[in-house]
Amino acid sequence: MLSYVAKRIGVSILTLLLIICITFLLMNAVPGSPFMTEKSTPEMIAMAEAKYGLDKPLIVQLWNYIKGYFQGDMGVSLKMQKGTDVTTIIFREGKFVLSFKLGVWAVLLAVIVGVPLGCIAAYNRGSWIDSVLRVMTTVGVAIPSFVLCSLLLIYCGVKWELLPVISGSLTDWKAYIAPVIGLSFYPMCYIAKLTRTSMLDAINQDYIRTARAKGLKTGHIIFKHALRNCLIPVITYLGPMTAGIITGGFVVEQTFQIPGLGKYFISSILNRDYPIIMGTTVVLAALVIMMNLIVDITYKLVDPRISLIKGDS
Amino acid sequence: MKNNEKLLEVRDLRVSFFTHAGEVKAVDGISYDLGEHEVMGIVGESGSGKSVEAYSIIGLLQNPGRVIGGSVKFMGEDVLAYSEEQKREFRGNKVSMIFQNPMTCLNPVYTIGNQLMEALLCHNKDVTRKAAYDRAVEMLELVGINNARKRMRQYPHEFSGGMRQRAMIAMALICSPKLLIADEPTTALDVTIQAQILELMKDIQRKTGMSIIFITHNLGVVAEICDRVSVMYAGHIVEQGNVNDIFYRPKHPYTEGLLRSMPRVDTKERERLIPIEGTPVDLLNPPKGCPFAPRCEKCLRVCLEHKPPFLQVGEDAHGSACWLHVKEMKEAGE
Amino acid sequence: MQKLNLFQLNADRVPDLKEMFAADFTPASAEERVSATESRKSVSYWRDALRRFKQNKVSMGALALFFIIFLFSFLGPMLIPYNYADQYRCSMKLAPGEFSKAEMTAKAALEHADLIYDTVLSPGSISSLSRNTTYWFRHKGVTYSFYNEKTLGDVIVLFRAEDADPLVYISEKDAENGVFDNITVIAYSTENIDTRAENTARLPLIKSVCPHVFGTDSAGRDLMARCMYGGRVSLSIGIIAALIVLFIGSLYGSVAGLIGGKVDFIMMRVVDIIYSVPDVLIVLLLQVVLKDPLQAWLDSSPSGFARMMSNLGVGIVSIFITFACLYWVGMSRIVRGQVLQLKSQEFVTAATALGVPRSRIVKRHLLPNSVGQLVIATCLQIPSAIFLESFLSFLGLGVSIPMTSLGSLCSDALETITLYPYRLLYPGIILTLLVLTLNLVGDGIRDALDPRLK
Repeated sequence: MLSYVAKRIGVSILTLLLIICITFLLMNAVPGSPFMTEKSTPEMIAMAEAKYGLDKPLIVQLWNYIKGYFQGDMGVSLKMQKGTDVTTIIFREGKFVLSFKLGVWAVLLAVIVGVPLGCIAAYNRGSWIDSVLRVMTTVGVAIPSFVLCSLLLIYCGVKWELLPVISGSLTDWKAYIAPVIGLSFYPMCYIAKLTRTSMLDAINQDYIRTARAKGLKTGHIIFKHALRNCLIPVITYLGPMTAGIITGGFVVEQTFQIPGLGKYFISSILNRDYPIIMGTTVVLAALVIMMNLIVDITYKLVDPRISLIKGDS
Repeated sequence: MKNNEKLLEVRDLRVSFFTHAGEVKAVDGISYDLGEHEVMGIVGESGSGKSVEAYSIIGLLQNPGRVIGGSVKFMGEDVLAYSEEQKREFRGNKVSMIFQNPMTCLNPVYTIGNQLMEALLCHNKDVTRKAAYDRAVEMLELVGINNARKRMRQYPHEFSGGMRQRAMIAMALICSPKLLIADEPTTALDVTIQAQILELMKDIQRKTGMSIIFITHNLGVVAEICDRVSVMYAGHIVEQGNVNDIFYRPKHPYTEGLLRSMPRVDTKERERLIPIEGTPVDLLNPPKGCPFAPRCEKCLRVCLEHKPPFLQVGEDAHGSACWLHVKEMKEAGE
Repeated sequence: MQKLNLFQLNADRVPDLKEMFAADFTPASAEERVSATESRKSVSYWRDALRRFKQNKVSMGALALFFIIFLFSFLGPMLIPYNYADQYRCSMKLAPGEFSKAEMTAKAALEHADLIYDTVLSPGSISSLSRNTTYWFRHKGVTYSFYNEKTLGDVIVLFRAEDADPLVYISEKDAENGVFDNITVIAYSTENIDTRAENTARLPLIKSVCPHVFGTDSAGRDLMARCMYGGRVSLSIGIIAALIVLFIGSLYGSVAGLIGGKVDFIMMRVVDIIYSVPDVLIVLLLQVVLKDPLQAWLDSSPSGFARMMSNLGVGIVSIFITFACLYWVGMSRIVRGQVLQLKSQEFVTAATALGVPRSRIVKRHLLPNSVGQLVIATCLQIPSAIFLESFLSFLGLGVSIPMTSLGSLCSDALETITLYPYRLLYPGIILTLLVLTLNLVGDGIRDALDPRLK
């Protein structure tokens, strides 16, 4: 078990390094210097580049970057907030915390609502509850997040004035409702569908037949025997779901005008502020990789068939 | 003659599956008795309905299958009329069942001990966990698993095939049921393990005196363990009797065909096997008369038109459903 | 005579002995036995799957709806006179079905003529008849033409076929005020003219004013036409991207699966690495990075291929490139899994044992059995491609102006969403329905090919 964990951590670090390299290469593949404006002369550009260390050979720059990253130094913003540390921008100006809070709430909501809904649908298979839930979740995964958020904005926010929508910095707990719902809706529906299918799969397994033959109560069978086996695909989904929540966050922050990391990232892309683009990419990628790592480890814990391999395959 | 009380009375049981393609008559009117301490073998090909009728007795039949007629009386009570709650009480407690494939039949994420104890704890509210644990260990030892205490903490994938089946048997016996239904328990096992499991079952049956319904397609196994045999074909019982009568004095053409097709140790070299011709019945569209008629070399015209009556053909509760017997009677009478 | 004993269990069914003895005990012949069993017609796997699919009402309904949307996007533009890019200055910011003032005037004018041409209603900035131009039009086989000397602005040309002076014009102002008799006659001729000569133009007379069913946007562009166009773009991108993924993924996956061994191991490690990279982040980066160099390359390259690509626009091409780089991995895993599973099946072993050459095994055994999975995967890839493209367009990183897709339509609508919510609703609903129907059809195909008792 321990060796498995160590191996997975090693692979994660490698992937992170790979991402840093890829991003770096991409940034440098764009012709033209970030310092180029209409008025700049070649000498000015060269001076600016030297100041920021951009005149050194690529490999050296890459090495400096990686070194810096692992020491917590992500460079300095070149356009949007000239001269400010990227690390400061991301972490100390509250952007990351804001997006993180939003994301965590969304994940919790998606799992806490999605799994029971899926179980209810599976348990009542064929009844009207099941049909309603299936329709809802099928439509739910087809609605693009920006459409949903915009709809929430107009109808719940403005027309019917149910929820405050100038969310600003999410100071009031009520301001969380609309963006969290918008962010968690797709994963919630997807998890409900996934749970329903894997629950139905689990119910059709032979060991459930054995449990029924033993005369166990139905509730007991579902909660003890079926649930644990059906959660395995759901846990596996948590990895891709994190990536989805991060990208969904871009849309939500854009729509509700929340000054989080996602919105800033999009602006930095449109403004070509490379250090910020790189820094944010690495931070977000690290989040996803970490989540995947946690999922892989949890997966092995939940399913004893795999964690206890001692020469038996 | 044993003075057996009738533990189980099955009368004219009919079970059908209502599928998209139509009604599949899986069991079309079967009847048999089972006494205490008796082992009844139910023999038949795939699709003969042998598993389906067992599922109906224990109440495990699921959509789209339904019991559409007949009665099943266990110790005098009509089991088919039980409520869901009563059926649940009954299962695992008075009647237990073990299945064909022990690997998939055990939940991979829980220990063997956990799964053993839960049956006991579920049916007996006043048993302590300690008592349940001890009983589970006792059962594991009864079925011949060594190091029982250590094994209790292990998972199903750590057991070998034969051991898993033993564990299944232990699970089935833990509440001391009066009847054990074994649905092809040895089919998925190696031949040597098969023999061990059969020995084990015979041993337990002698010790505990419970009755067993043993479902199989393997006549050799039947000869080993059963007292009485019912031969099923296409949802009907075509012959029924005690094991010696069936093996040495078979009366139904299907039973004769089965016995003849078995490869034997004492055949001369290079003798061909004698199969039963034809293909199994399409249960969506069963034949009008005797279901075996199209494959029977002794088929009479009446066999294609009318279902044969189930007649006594020897002493000691030996019955067979064949028009040939009626023909013999007629000719003997003339 | 031995007593006929009915077996004791069925004692209630006492048979009629006489009846039984009267039965026909002659042996049946082999033919009689065979005819007693009707065998069912054997159905091929694909026909069976098709039957199951047809029975699935939800999927059939989704398929029908998808075709409706498809026809809407591709054939719709033939039915309405508006173009996705034409800006009608007089008809800006209309609600669905609403008519602008100029359009109402034109409608009123139509009551006084068979055909009209309203300069104010023409798209773009030209709202007048140009000077020194010969205008012509055809009506019932006759070509009418007239020469226009001076620039004629803010007029409505009326054509009444039966009148003595069929071709007249009135001023826009008069028409607005409801005055339709202050007419100026236009001298025309019915001689045949060269319609392709310089300084000639066709006069696009209209018989009725087509309503803007979805309304118009701030620049006066008809929303329905834009939705149709956006639908076309989104659908095309989705389908082409899915095909790219299918092609690359299945090639890669089948090679890995067929060859096996070390090659397979290395190929799959590559897939794992690409898979673990968070895709959307890289997609966003690629979009940014590729835009400028791609534009430069397309501008400079003379080949026809580059020409076609530059027509599509840099945004779309870079979307295709990102798909080709990142999204084929899922498909390759599926294909490899299929190939491996099939390779180990006994019918393949049997065919190999019979000496069937490898290419034939691939053609006759592996491919047909994989088609099902491939169809499902591709069908479900289209909506996710459409999703991704609309996501990118929404953020401003997808298709570039003047092209528009459903995603960028939604993005545009966001600014004025409180005033004109319908501008978001129409493209948003079409987008949702597109994704929904494709998902349902994909699910339906999967259920048809691999039925489980639902």
